[in-house]
Amino acid sequence: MLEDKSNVKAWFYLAPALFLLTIFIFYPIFNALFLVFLRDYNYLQGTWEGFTLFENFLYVFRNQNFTQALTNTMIITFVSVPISVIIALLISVWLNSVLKLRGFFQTIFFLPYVTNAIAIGMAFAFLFNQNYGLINTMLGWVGLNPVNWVGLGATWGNAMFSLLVYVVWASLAFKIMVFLSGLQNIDKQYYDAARVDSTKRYRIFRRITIPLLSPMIFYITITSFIGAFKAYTQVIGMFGVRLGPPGNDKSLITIVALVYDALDRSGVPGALSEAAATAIVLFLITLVFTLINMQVSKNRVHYSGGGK
Amino acid sequence: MKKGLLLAVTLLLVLTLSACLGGGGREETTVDIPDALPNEPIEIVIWHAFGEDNQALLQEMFDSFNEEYPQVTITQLGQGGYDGLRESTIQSIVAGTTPTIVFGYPDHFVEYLNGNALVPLDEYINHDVHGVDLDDFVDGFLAENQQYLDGNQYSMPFAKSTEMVVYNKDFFDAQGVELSRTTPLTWDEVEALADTMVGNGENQCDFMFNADSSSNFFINSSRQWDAGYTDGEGNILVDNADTRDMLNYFNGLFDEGIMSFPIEWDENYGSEPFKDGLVCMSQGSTAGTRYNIPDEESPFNEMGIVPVIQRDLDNASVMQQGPNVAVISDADNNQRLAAWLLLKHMTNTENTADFAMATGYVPVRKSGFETAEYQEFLSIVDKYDDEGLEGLSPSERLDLPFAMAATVAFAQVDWYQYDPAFVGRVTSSGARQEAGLAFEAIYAGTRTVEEAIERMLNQLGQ
Repeated sequence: MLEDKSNVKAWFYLAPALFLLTIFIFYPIFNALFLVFLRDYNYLQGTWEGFTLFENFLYVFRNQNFTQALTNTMIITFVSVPISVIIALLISVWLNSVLKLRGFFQTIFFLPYVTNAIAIGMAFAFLFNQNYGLINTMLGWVGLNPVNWVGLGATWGNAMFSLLVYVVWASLAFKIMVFLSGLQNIDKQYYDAARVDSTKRYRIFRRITIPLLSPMIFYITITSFIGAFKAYTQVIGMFGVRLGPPGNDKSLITIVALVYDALDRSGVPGALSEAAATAIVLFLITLVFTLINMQVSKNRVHYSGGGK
Repeated sequence: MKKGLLLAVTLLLVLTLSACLGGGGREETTVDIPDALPNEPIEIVIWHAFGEDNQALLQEMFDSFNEEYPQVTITQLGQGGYDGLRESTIQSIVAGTTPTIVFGYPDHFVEYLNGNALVPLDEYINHDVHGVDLDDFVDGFLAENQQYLDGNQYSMPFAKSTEMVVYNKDFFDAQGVELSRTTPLTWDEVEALADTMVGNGENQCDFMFNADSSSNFFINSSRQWDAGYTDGEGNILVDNADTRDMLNYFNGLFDEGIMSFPIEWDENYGSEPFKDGLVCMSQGSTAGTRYNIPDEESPFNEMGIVPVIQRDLDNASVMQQGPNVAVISDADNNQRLAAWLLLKHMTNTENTADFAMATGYVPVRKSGFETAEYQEFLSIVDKYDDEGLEGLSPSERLDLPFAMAATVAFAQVDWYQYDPAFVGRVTSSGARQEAGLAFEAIYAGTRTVEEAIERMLNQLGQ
């Protein structure tokens, strides 16, 4: 009886959240799923020409930019995530060991997180400018010729490298913050004991820090992979709506950009279904890699012992 | 049990919301025109993409309209740029919160027609009481608004512009070259001029010519070369020897440093490089005249304006652009009539001439060019030719660039062309974009002519 009463109360408290989740999360997801199976859905009229299983997916796969978008998305994900996780981890460990000015450095490293992604992208485009960018100036100091990173007719490789530098840099802040909070929760006794045994720093890092931080590393890796699969803002920030250097437009197109490209044709019958199908394809890709990630991490994540 | 109940409630909510997907469709628009506007309050909402200056000019037109029809309340709302306007209008059609009048391009209007959202204007145009004489409208502007495949006219021209070429008059004068405002240069002549005008010396530029819009340049050059571009059915017609010939010709000009696009300077328009003296001639819209006027930092004082460069004067072609206006079908019969009467008022002889003089657009009516005020406005150019800048009053000096643009626009009036609007898996706006990107890729050297054509066809699903 008492349990029933508290259950009713719980549902009552949950109701606003459930209501909002239904409208803003469940309904759009269901809608996207529904749209995928409509043939020539006319958004302006709310009508469609029957149902189809695969037609909208075929439009996605036949899209001339799909292979390029998939390639770019995969490269952004599988290059930027491991690199940024490792760099963030090293910076966090260093920050955790710094005694003086720690607050100052923490603020510096956290700044990108509270800065607009488009603004940062524009700043990086400036840094990589062929004629007056800092990167080429620095290359000049060591006697190297300037490189056309993001300018007129820049190659895909140069543009992708510039983008990856930006993506890694911009994604460090949140990771550092999470790792740092994880490091500060590791019981100092483990380190004291290691020090008593004169254990080498690298061994302490491998045997104590990494295992006790593994839940955080796992969490950050999974969410970073999911975030990287959705890369779009970074490309817009650095290259604008061209999605590539001038004269090499769309060379850095991503899967999310394909979704927006289809949505941009919302007045055209079938375009919304194509956008929905692209989103579902991205969801499935993300799901598969997340499951693989979870499976691989299963025996490597150490959940007990962190904190007191 | 509880979980089942939760699932059922959630599913019910989701399904209820999903019913919104199927609206049952909008019916074909039927037209029923009242004999007169009733003496009762009528509200009209207008969506456009104009900034504050042009909004003030529109408001003057609304005020004068209200003198005759005080019962009509007119509200104008800017929706950002034209992409924003199109997006807002599409959402409003879906949500049933449409404006009464919407500005836009035929590319947009054919999309709205997918939702039966526009009123065919033919019966209003031909109406005994409320009709209008289409013969007075500039043929090229009218043709663009009569291109819809079902044969109806869904829009009227309003703020029309055309392309023109601004040039660095000081540099040309120094080379002893005088250009005509009525007879276009040919590409052969531009090439010959480039021999002396392109370089690093005094009164020379890095590039002879810039085209602001690579899309417009592709489309208009295709016409000059008698090559295909698209048709109203959405076929892409660029896979032919004439298109290759055209692209190869300009590729040669790229290689020789004669021709450029704004991406050369990482710009969207060529006005800044032009004002900086980096390019001697720049092709852009008459509506953008003001942005090319040399400033204090420019290495020259005077600019001139000439018609769009042609391949062959017997096959001249010029892009026309600028928004048109349409009436949305959600309005009731009185609102539709009020909207039509307002469109008529906005495009009458006086208003189209006044709007043109103040903005750099051109009159949409032939009679607009012939009003005393407009002729006086154009006469500033003659006075300038006779007496030079010194002979002009300060206000005439300010008006001079616009008067020159208007003179050139009028000289080109018989050559105005439009590109067909279509909407399917491939849209006319998508084709325009790909045409521009193809030209820019050739310019940047990232694709050969053959590769650019192949990619354009692939991107457009051909």
